[in-house]
Amino acid sequence: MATLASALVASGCGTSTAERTSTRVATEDLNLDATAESDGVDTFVMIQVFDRRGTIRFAGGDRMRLYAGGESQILRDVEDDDGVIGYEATFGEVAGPYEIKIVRPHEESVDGLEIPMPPAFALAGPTAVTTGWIDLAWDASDDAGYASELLVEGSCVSPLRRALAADTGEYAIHTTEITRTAPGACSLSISLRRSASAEQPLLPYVDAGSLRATSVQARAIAVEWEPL
Amino acid sequence: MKIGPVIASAIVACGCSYEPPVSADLSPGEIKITASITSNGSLAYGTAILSAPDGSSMTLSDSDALILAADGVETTMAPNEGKHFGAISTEATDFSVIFERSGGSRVENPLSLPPAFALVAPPEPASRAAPLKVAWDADQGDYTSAIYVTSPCFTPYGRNLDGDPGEFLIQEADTGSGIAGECAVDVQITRSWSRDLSPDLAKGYPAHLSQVREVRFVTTP
Repeated sequence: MATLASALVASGCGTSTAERTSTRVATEDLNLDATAESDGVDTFVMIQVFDRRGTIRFAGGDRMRLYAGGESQILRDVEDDDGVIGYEATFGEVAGPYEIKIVRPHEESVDGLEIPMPPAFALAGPTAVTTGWIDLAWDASDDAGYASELLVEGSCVSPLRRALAADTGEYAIHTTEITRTAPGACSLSISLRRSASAEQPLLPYVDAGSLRATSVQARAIAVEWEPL
Repeated sequence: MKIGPVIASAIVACGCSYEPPVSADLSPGEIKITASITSNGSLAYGTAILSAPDGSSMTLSDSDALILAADGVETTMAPNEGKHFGAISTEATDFSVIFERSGGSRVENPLSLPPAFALVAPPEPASRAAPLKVAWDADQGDYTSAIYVTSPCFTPYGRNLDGDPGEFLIQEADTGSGIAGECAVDVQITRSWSRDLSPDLAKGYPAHLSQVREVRFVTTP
């Protein structure tokens, strides 16, 4: 989950090192970058608020609240070593969309920012393999609003990424499709990620900023690989 | 630093005409050959490129010849735009690319292809309701294998295989689920390895040697 924060920082949204607050920034000049990732147990949300000069910390009574899975939370602010500010929250599993509200006592508030989450699912597969097919199964979905990607990682293999053309709820990878970097037995992590991206205006004005959101449902299983 | 191209550029810059070296002016130890041989099980196709040790291009002299040989058959490789091509109808896996001088002296490069195999398509009509399996004779050689799947119905895709599974599944998750009606699928399997040429030639790239098999079959929903 920590990589989410790093990814947001790496997105280049925060470039100013000076502490900046929202009190002198009009709502129409705000932009939001939001990332949510659920592992089926927890959903971690990271949001950056920024204008053209960099990330902003809410002040003067401004605050951001997130609604997800029947819960709501005021997001807590975090700051990295470069002074990039973000807001984060952790929820339980979020089956449906989550919503962001920005409350500003002295500026226009923002309501109704709804961000879809891809459908939740459970991933099943073998716990150990020698050689041959690794059969994976999960809950298929007809929802076309997301992309699915399979990822195989491990200390003895080169990472294998495979974008799926269709989310059929089943897939088989042969062990020969995985490139080994070290001999012997090792542990693989096989994960399936459903990700959706969306962008919407923050306010119904032509020149207003926008919310860019990426939501991910990720599930992983551990597979012990001991080649014959 | 490669001297040949620099000299060639300098000659062009001074307005002189540049003539690449010819094989007759050099000993075999000063000639590099970059060769490849590919067989589909009944027809083998070889290519060879001559170059100087510094990598600059070289012309095969009329008095010299490049020959592709297998199964007791020899064919002179024909030049075309700097490459030499030859083909032999054979099921053989043992070949030789021969550099022959007018006097009859030869440098032979015995080259064995990876093991031959037969590729079997799923029985037609092959329903896409389940993964479609293609199968072949698995072997344990030190070759690499690659599979390439093409069709007018979906985006082509390929896989490099670390070992030889002897089978491959064409899955709906790879092809997409929006395919309607009958759909032809082409599958190509390639086994490749590299082998050094004769030490009597200048040290160059190893020869690239491949066995390729293809099947086409019609799929239905």
